[in-house]
Amino acid sequence: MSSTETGIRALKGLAKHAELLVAAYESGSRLIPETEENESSIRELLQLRLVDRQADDGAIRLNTVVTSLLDHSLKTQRLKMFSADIGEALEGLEFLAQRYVQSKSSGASGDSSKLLDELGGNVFDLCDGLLSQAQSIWRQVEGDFGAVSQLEIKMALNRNTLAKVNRILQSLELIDMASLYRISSRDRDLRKLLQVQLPEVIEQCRQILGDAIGRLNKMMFRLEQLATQATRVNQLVDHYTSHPGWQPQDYSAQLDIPVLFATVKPIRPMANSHIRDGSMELVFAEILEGLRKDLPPDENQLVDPISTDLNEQEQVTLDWGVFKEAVRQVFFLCLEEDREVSGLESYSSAPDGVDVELWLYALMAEYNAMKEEDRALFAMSFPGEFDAVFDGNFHAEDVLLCPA
Amino acid sequence: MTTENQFCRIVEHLLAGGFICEYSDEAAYAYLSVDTRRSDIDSYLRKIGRCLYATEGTVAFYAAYTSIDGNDRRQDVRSQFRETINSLEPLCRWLRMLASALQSEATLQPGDVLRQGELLGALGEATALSEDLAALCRSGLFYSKKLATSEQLEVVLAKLVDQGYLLRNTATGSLFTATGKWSYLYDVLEFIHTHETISSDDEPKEEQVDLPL
Repeated sequence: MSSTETGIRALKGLAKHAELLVAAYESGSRLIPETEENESSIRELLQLRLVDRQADDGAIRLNTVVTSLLDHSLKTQRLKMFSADIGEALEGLEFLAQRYVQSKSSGASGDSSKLLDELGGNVFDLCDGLLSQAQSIWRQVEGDFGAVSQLEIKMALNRNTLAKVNRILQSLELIDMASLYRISSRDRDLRKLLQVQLPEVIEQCRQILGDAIGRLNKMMFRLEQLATQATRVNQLVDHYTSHPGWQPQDYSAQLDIPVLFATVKPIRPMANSHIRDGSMELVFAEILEGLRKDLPPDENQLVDPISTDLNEQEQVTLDWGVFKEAVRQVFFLCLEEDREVSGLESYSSAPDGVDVELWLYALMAEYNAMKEEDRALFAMSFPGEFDAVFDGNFHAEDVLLCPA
Repeated sequence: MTTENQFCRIVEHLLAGGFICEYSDEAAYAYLSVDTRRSDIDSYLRKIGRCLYATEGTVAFYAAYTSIDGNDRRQDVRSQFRETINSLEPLCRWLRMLASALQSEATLQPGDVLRQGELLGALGEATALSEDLAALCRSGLFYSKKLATSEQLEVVLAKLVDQGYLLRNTATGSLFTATGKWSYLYDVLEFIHTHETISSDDEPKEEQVDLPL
C-alpha cells in the first residue's frame, strides 16, 4: 500500500468514526468504551494508529495526534461561542498572515505589502477592542455601578459583570498563541505584530480583568453584608413588635461569657500630674500664667459685712425648774432643822411623775455638783450592805443627808 | 504627638469603654492598624485582665475582659450586658426608621454622613416616620418630654453622640458621622440571630406538606 493510500485510509477512518472519537474527546478522559457495538471500530482505529491501548489497564484512549487535532479545531469554535468578535478576528488574522507569507515567498511584494498593512490594521482593531472592553468593565466597577442605589440591582449588576469578565477571560485563554507564533516565526514584521503587540495587549487585558474580578468579589461580599445587616435589623424589630417585652437570654450569667458581651466597664483614669516630667513644664507655666490676680466674682461681691463685735449682753437669770427646786428644798430643810433627812422620806415632796430612783440620784447629783464651800455644810451617807457573793457590789437602801 | 502619648491616650480611651475607628479617631486607628503596636496595646491590657478586640472586618477596636473570675467583674459585665440589651430595641427601631427616611435598603454604616436638615425634611413629609420617632422618644434610651419633631430628632441625635454612635461635625453642628460602634451593634445582632429563635415575616415560611401514604 502506497503512502497516499495509507493517508487517505487514515482520513477516511477519522471521518467514519468521527462521532466516537469526538465523544471520547468531549468526555475528558479520552477513553473509548469497549462495548460490543464499538468492537469493530476500535479494531480499525487501532490498525490506523488513531487510538492506543493503555499498557497498564488495557483501556482504549485517543492518541496525542488525534487529541491535538481536535484541540486545534474545537478551540476556535469554543472561542466563537464565548466571543464571536474575538473568534472571527483571530481567524481573520490567521488568514491574512498566511496569505502574506504566501505572497512574500512568491515574490509578490506589492500584494504582501498591502496584506501586511491590512493585518496591522486588524491587529490594532482587535487590541483596541479588547482593551476598551476591559477598561469599560473596570470603569463600571470603579464607579460602583453609577447612580444605582438599590442593593438588589447593584448585586444583579455585579453578578452580570462578573459573568461577562469570566467570559472574556475564558476567550483570552482560548486564543491559540502557539499557532500565531508558528505562522509569524519566519517574518520580522509578523513577529512584531503577532508575537509582541498582540500578546502584550492580551496580558494587559488579563491584568485589568483579574483586578476587576478581585474588586467585584470584594464588592459582592460587602453588598451581601449590607443586605444581611438590614435583614437582621428588620427581623429583630419585627420580633420586638410581635413579642413585646422580649429579651435575649442573659448571656452574662453564663459560665463562659461570649467575648462580645465581656466589654469592659468604663474606668475613669485618674492621675496626678507628673511634676518632674520636663515635657510638662510648658503646661505648668501656662497654668501659672493663667492664675487669677483678682478675686473671683463671688468673693468680690458687695455685701454688708456681718459685725463680729460682742455687744454688752444683759445677764439673764435662769429659773430653777420645779424638780430642781424640790431637790434644793431638801438641802434647805436639812440645814434649817439641823437634822438627818432621809431620801426616801423626802420623796413625798418630789413632783408628780418622778421615779423614786431618779429622785435619789437627783439628791446625789445636787450634792456632788454644788460648790466646795457649800458641800462642806453637808454629809451624805448610804445605809446598806455589800453583796454576799459579788462583794464589789454595794446595795444602798437609802440616801441620808445630814448637816456636817 | 509622640508614640508614648499616643499609646497612653489609646489605652485610656479603651479602658474608658471607648471604641476606636477610623472615623472617630483616625490617628489612633492608624496606630492600631500596625501589628506590632496593636500587639503592644494588647499585652498592656492583658496585664490588667483585659485585651484588645476588633469588630467584624476590623472596623472598630474595643477592650474586653480576658476572664470573668471575681464577683465584682461579673457584676460589671452583667451591668454592661444589660445596658447593651436594653438599648438594642431603640437602636434597631432607629436604624429602620432612618433607612426608611433616607429611602435606603442598607442600614446606617460606619462613615456614613447624616444631615439633620435632610432627616427633618424626610420626617416632615412622612407622618408615619414622625410617629415612629415620637414612639421612640416615649421610653428607653431616647426618652424625652419634647413634643416637636425637630426637638425629638435633636434629642435622639444628641443621645447617639453621647453613646459614641455618632460624631457631631463641630464646624456646622448639623452634620453627623456614623462611627465604628455600629459595627459592634451589627456583631451583636448577628450573634443574637445565631443563638436565639427570631421569628420574622421576612423569612420564607415553609408550607407543611402531607406526606403521601
